[in-house]
Amino acid sequence: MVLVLLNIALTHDPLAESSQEIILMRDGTHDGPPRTTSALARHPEDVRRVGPPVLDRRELLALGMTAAGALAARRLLGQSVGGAQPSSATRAASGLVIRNARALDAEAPLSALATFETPSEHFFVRSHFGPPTQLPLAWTLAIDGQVQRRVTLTLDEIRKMGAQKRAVTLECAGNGRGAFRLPKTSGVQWEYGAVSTATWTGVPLAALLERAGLTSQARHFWMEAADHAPAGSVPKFLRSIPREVALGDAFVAYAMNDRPIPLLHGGPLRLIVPGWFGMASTKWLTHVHAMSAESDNYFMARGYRYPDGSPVTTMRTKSVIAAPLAGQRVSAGRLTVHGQAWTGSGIIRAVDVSVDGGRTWSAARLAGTVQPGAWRTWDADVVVQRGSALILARATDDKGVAQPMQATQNPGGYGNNSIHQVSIHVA
Amino acid sequence: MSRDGWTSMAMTWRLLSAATAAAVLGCARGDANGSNTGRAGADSGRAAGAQASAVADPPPTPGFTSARGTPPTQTAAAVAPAAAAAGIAPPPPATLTSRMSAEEQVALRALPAGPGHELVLATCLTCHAATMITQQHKDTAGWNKTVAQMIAWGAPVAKEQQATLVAYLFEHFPARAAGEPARPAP
Repeated sequence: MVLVLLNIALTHDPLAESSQEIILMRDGTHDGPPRTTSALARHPEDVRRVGPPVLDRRELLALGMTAAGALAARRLLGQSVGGAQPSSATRAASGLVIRNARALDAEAPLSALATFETPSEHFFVRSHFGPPTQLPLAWTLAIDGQVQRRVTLTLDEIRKMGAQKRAVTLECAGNGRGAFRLPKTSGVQWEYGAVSTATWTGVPLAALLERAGLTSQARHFWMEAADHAPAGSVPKFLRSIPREVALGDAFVAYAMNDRPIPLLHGGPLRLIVPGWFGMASTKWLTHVHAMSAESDNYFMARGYRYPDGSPVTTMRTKSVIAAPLAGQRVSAGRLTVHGQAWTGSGIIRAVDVSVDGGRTWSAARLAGTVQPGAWRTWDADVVVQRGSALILARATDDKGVAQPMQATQNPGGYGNNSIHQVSIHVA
Repeated sequence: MSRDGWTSMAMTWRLLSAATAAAVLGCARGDANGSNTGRAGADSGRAAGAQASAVADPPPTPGFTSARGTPPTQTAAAVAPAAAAAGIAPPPPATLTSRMSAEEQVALRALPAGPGHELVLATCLTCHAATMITQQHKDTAGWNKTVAQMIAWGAPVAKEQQATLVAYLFEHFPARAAGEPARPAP
């Protein structure tokens, strides 16, 4: 026993976690006939039998990349990608960019952000501790605390309660931290790709809470999940959301892009809080505690705070250029620039593009329709002259607030919505 | 969980980690040639082979190549003798790397040799990858704060080791001057 624990302590890696602790189904769900991943974990060669490279990535992500994590990550991010036939939606994407290998933090390649819906295998990955190392065979969600009756719901019961489908953009609060010019900085050094959009299917949190019946004391909802730190007295990641958000458009999702949510993305159950930075969208949700006060957890009270003490909540107005890519060579003349723009608490009203470093701007076209909580795809036809060009994209929300050229820095590196700048060569 | 529960967990962890550290450091000398003793059973040969090839031929990893330059391609074992002379970190113990992802093994090489190197392997990397360290840059006060937080959370660092650890982190991952970009502008 001690040897086993020692081995886990020594090599603990949620990605490469051994099979004994994890039993999950091939499709990423956990409440059906169990399928041990031990074969994959122990036989790296077997992974290659899953299918062609693109399928590999999908399959492995569906598996949550828990097994054969080394190989999965390598294939996902490395050599398999170069030779892979890009799926139709990914526009020659080159794989996730790892910022932290354990727990896995990886951002989307900007080329993968060209489409409205980000394929799950290119959706950014972030958690403090990695996926849970022990999964129950039958996942349940318990609602307790300031309620009239404690309820425990199975995945099946939740699925039967509804299938609200909604595209929601999630952005890590630290997205762009690596681009802040901070003399010293803590945390994952994200560049621009810790943002993605998926179509989530689930049930409004309000409907689930109604089952339990809230008391008037229920003012904050503590979201407890199955993940935990590998060791020590590290606090759990346990954030809360206020009542108006819980009874607003927060929902509990069980599908991502019409598939069961991959383990790495918080499956089988993930809270989705539209408009808020991603840390509010708790992965691996197991309990909702209805409480009278805000969570006093480290990641509420100390983490995710701006310097003035105010909490990090909704996303800031921001845009990202998905094409052209930095350093790309293009021909002089007409060029289409495109990307995404989003905001947490309103809607995107305009995106302007500059090809001369911000001296002159022209309006981009906004594609599709307004979907609150989701980004807006945009494109602009511009003309570039021979030499080098600095392309900028600036989003403006419905209150007229535009992205700043340089966002105010803060020690935590949160909310960097500086205008994205892409330098290209024009031949 | 009760406070006592946490305390007892933390104690257990400290004991385990101390044993782990001993194992890691022990193996660092006895088993530094990349052989894979961490795996048991009939699969070990195959798995070790896969690991060895992962080390010998690291795939392109955009995260590392963009942030740290192209990773070296030699095997850890091959560079070991020259490494010592050049001040490059010795290959990490196989017990530590046997189940690490290829990316994490590449990340390990960004931890330079020197006083405190083994301490980092034994204390920090039980919980997280080297990238968590190598991508951050702090002054002494900043690293002190981080290390103190980690110790409070159960990192198995003895009081007398703390200064060595902080000195290592500051020496190799110091804060950049204010206004200096984290990396070249895109």
